[in-house]
Amino acid sequence: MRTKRLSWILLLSFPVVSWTSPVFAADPHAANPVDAATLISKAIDRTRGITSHAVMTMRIVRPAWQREITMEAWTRGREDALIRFTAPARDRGNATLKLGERMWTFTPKLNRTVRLPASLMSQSWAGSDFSYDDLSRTDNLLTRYVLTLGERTEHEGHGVHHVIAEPKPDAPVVWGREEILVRDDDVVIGHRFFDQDMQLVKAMETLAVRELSGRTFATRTRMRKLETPDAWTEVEWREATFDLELPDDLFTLFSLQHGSSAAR
Amino acid sequence: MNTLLAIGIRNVNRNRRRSGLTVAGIAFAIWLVGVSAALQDGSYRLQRQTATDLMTGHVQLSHPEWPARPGVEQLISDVARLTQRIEGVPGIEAVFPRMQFFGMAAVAENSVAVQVLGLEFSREEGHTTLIRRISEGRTPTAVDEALIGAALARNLDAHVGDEVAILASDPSGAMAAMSVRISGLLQTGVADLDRLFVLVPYAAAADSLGMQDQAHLLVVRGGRPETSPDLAACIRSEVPQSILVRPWQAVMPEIEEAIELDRLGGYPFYGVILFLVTFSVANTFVMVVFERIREFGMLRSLGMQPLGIIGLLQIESMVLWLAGAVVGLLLLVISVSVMATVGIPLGERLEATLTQMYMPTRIYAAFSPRAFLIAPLVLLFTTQLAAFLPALRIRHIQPAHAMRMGA
Amino acid sequence: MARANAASSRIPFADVPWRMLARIGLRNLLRHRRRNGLLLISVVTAVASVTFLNALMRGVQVDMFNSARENLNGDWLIVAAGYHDDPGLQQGFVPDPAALAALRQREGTAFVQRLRTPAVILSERETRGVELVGIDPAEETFSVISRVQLEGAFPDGPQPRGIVLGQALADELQTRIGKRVVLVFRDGSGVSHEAGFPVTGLFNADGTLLEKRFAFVGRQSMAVAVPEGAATEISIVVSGDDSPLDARALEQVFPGRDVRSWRQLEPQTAALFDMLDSIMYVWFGIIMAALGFGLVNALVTAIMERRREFGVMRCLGMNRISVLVQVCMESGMLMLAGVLLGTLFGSVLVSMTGGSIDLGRFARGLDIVGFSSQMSLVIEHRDLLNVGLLSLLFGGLASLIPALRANRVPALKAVTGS
Repeated sequence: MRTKRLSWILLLSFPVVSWTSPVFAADPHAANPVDAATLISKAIDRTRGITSHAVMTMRIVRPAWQREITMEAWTRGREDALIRFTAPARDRGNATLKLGERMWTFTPKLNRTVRLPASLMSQSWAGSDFSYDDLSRTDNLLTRYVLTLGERTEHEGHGVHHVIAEPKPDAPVVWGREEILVRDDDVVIGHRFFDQDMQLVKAMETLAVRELSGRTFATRTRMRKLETPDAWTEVEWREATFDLELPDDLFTLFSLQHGSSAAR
Repeated sequence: MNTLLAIGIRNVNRNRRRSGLTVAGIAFAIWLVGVSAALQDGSYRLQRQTATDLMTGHVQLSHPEWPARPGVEQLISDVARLTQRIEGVPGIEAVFPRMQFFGMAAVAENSVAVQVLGLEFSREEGHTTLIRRISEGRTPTAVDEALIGAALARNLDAHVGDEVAILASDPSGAMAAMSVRISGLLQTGVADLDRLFVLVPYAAAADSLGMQDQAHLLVVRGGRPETSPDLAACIRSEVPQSILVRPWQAVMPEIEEAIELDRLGGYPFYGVILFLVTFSVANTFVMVVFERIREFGMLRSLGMQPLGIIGLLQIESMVLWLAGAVVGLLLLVISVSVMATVGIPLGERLEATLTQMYMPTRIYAAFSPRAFLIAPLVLLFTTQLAAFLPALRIRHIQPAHAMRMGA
Repeated sequence: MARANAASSRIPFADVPWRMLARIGLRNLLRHRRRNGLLLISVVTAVASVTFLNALMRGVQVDMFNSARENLNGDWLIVAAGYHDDPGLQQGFVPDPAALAALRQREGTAFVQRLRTPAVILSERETRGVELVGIDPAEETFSVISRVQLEGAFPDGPQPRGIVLGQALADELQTRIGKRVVLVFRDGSGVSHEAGFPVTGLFNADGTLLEKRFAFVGRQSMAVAVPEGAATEISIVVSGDDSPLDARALEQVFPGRDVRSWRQLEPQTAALFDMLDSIMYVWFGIIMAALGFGLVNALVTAIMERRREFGVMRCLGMNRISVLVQVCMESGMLMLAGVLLGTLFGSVLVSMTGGSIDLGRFARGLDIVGFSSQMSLVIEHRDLLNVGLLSLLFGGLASLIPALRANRVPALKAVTGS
């Protein structure tokens, strides 16, 4: 008697979902970026020590069906995040807490918190094209890759730098190469993932750039795998607040399960 | 013809010892090959039965993508109606819906990846041996109870009575959750199953995944494992084209392949035995021809054609074969009957191992056609040949010369 | 005559004219060429087929034994207690150097230390579960690692890093030599660890189960958060049958560890393995029985034909024993010729197969039963000897009984014939 191999959903090794998070809003007065590392690094630096609160919708599109989830997200620095689904009813109350590399998920149906074992981090988050891993990676672009500047193009009147990220030898990265398109106002408008034969496997593109609470950033992005063109995931920011006071106890297991003052 | 037959029988009787030994050889070969083949076929039957009774069933219905990429979203719908249609097919014993998906099980602070199997315990009770392989506790009787593999329980540090949370993705990716109480521990003897499986009631699984009248698999039982391809064909004509119908041979091809290999492996042995017995018959007739040269010379001089004499020898050979076949088949029937009911024990040490693996501890023989037909038919042909070839010398007999030769 | 009789009654075999009897026997054999020729062919066939089939079954035994041990287990596997339930680097331990030294000193004992943990392996498009095994390739002289067909190379030494995957796994992951894969596993402190490894080699094992199950790296490259020199397992192989290790001895040398033999790790294979010895004897008996009917028939006929001749010999002064000896020698010579030729013929057949038969078509079914798709044929001298001696014994017995009967007839009666 043999069991079938467990089926694993395709892994997305996508450094950072928060590339699209508001914390990357660039300082419009940035000087000409000197080199790629500085460009990326500046964006990351801006996020240290910053908090945020956002309301977003995620739309998952598949050939046979569509799903739209609304969620609230709080972040603290680059390490900690709490995401709680608010709609539709089926998903309401489900929450995910990230503290550094560790993740927990809370399900109101069981009123229970479960720690995600490492072997499941590559699983799809809420059925989207993002995995739990994607939610948890942080400074990977700086630590695991060698960054160089590629060509320059145009987007909505802005110059766009193509930053080429090549994984360092033996880095725990499956990609052959990643390309991050950063506008001269430090808005990320695209992120492409190439396999080790340099074939484009998946791409994230920015569909809308707007200003929210005084920051301009990519407010609507779509993640799509090129091999399945009729399936994608779109994330859109509805509201965002930055640098607000967030209670320390927000990013705890207790808060995950019971909610805390700020979550009300 | 009758005269020749009478002569043949009398000739055979002339040298009782030699004929007796030859007949004994033929009978032995028929008996031996028959018993081996019957035991082989009996053990194959048992293997097929054990394999299909464990959890696969005889025929499985699923989404066409299921074999290649089993996922929670590969569903078949309209389960109730499908079940009804299938039950109308003659020979069907039972139809069970199953859920099978991948998830996470958590007990207190420990969580591991698991395979969740949702099945209807009360209905599958008499059919699916998997749920009987319990080392502690009992099968679930309530909708919030579950069986988990013994090794899995150890890894989670869980015991009978503990509560387990199971999280999974439903077909649209939303979080599905259920809380179950461990009613028993599963010890299947297969390491992978014991370490990964959680068995929950079908209703609970369907409910948590938000599924209505849907399933991942429909497991059908009916008839014997050997006839499952035919059953699958009948079922196929009753269900929509969009559903994949597979006999267990397609689900677990390795079983049939291993059986085929073993079966083929028997033939060289049988061949050697039949060959040796044929040679003994040939030797017999060599001696016969040598001894009865004078007699043949006399027959020739009386006008009998060489072919006639050869024919006489063929009849004698046939008589020997017939006697051997009767004795051999009789012994065979008796032996196979005994072995089919009582079986052959395998020795203490082997039996202990087999019991642990939930496998039968005795080999039973089966009344299979090939066990009763191969040896007799092959020997019929070869003994005739064995008599024919030495007899060819008879063509060259010069009657006068032959009659003068000593007995 | 009386004196001769007296002498022979004291020392039965003293007066037997061996050489003459042998000559008589040989001449008799050649007299009935057709009949004895057929008999010889029968014996040759029987012995040749037994030799071949024995070689096949020994080969199966050897295959099973090898695959059971070589699946990284060896003859003995020593792991931390509790490892089998929850394998991983947290179960790593530093073996007592004194214990290892003791093992090294033992004759014919080889061992190897490894790190093993379940892991997740990722490529750009696929994810799989795998057992990650950290080895010292130079030390692996007896496990499956030393026997697989390898494309590329094992990573040698702490640098450079590399991973060797099974061909089947590489195909599923859509990766190949030169590309990088990512491994995720729990380190020695239980914390999840990720690492990238370039694929430096692909191995092809008979049976894709092995290829999908293991991935090999240098031991150093996966030693994360484990003490220096730690291993999760020690695999021991004892060559030769002299002074086998036993569990208790090992448990004393490695106190507190889980010590298991390959028989405990693979009970199914062990059971089949033991059964094969008995099966070989049973088949030998069966084939000899099948041979027996024709053999006895021919021998009895031969003896009955020569009753007159025996009578004459007896009248000429040959004692009963000599007659018996003559008969037995004659059939003995035939059997000997048959056994020798049969053994030769069988051995030639075996060598014609090149030592193995390829059953590629049934590869999947074989996996389950534990065989590889290459079935070996192994001739063991003790098997040849057994078969030869037993056959001769059998032939001797087969001729003894009719000979005894023929002897009982008084000489005069035999000569005049009745």
